[in-house]
Amino acid sequence: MRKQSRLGRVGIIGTVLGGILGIVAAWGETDPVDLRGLLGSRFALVLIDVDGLACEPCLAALREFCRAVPSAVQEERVLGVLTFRAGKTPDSRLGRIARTKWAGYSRANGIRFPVTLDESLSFNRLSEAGTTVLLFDPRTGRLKRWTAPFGPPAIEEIVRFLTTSETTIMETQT
Amino acid sequence: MPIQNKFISFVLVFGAVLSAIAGTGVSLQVRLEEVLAIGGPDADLLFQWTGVSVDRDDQIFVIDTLDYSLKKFDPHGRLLGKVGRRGQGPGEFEKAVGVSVVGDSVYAWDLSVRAVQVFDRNLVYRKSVPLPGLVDGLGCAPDGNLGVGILGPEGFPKIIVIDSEGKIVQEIVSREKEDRLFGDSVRFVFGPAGETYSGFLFRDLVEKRDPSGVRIWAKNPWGTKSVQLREIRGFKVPTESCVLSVARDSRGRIYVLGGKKAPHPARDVLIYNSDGVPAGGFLLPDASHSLYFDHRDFLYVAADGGVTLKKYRLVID
Repeated sequence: MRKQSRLGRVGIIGTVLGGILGIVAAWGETDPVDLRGLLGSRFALVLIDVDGLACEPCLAALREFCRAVPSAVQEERVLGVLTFRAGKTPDSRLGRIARTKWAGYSRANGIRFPVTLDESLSFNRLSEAGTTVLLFDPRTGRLKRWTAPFGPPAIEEIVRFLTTSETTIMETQT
Repeated sequence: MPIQNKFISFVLVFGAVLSAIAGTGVSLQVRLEEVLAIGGPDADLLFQWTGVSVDRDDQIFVIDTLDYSLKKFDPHGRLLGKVGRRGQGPGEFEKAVGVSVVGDSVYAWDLSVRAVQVFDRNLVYRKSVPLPGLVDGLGCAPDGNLGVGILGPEGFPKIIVIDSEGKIVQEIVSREKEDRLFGDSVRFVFGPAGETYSGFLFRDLVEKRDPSGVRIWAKNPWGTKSVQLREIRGFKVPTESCVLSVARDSRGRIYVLGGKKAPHPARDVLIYNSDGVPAGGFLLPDASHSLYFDHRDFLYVAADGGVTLKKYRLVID
């Protein structure tokens, strides 16, 4: 487990909220994912960089996450955000390629949580170090972040956070 | 998939320049005509293809590492069948990297298994052939045996020749110690007399060896003097790729696809004749990890980050 501390708490929360707003703003043109069930309750964002699909440790961490989190919880409390690196000039092809690659990989691995494409590139800075999980509690404004590889304690805490009562207090770790 | 008849022409000033530098005076002018595209950024067909091979009926076999599959397409690019899922059992793949059709057998290999899986041309799994290392490449020798590029337990790449039962009949090992590089990977093709043409992923080296393994010629395609190494967990490993792929057409020309050391990584292709004389080069329209020629000399390369397979006719003036 690797703790990230380069961004402050405020910065991360701002990035997450800004990114979500960006995704919501782009809704209708991207993947058919309904965010209404996520907003207002605890949830996890899984940031997946498409370049990480060529990185076996990144994929292993993602598979471990999917194995540990129950399918129903994945569908209700987890949102994947697929990031990609854009070139110097805008190129919609890169986003389409990223989406196609994810479609093949997620189907072959039975991944259940919905994933949307970060066309606004809002999450690139957070995802550049590898597959990243952000646990976010909108009611308290608290969050935790892990970047792959995840150790058993991190996986255990992620599962506990997503599956236990909303009143549990979580410490911010940034 | 529809056949795309778009005509793509690349005037290869690059090849002329390289040949002039090499002082050969011979520079092939090459144009690429696209005749087929399979998959694409909006197609749900290929996701990260890593290997391609074409059988005698022009059927195209493609292995894809992201969905752990081996796919078969007709000559027009229509999907005929697909096998595979994630795993290390029969018909399963963990890190699928290559496929080669030899006669009626389709050999598929995986970077996580010390074996080659054998399917028939209907994609029915037949058997696995155990090997003494991780498989990196495979080609048919003129005598019907198979050449297999492996990463041996000692960490150096080598080519072994096996018979149809998997028995090792020959090892082609680099005898020059200075050419051995821990963690390297060899790409190779056979010539008609059993000679091998090899390129190395992390060493700027392309060479020809006779059937007994004696070096006949060696070239440094990108003029690199040294290998960049980085220490990871106590091991010094190379980091910048030199040769991504080596292919041979029916006229005996050798094609070398450059890695990061090339001026245009994954796009620059150099051509040598069988004597090692530079004969020009060309630039691929998109980055590719692989070059492959079928029995009709059509060239197959990747595009769009591996979600597209393109087939080109090479027009050489």
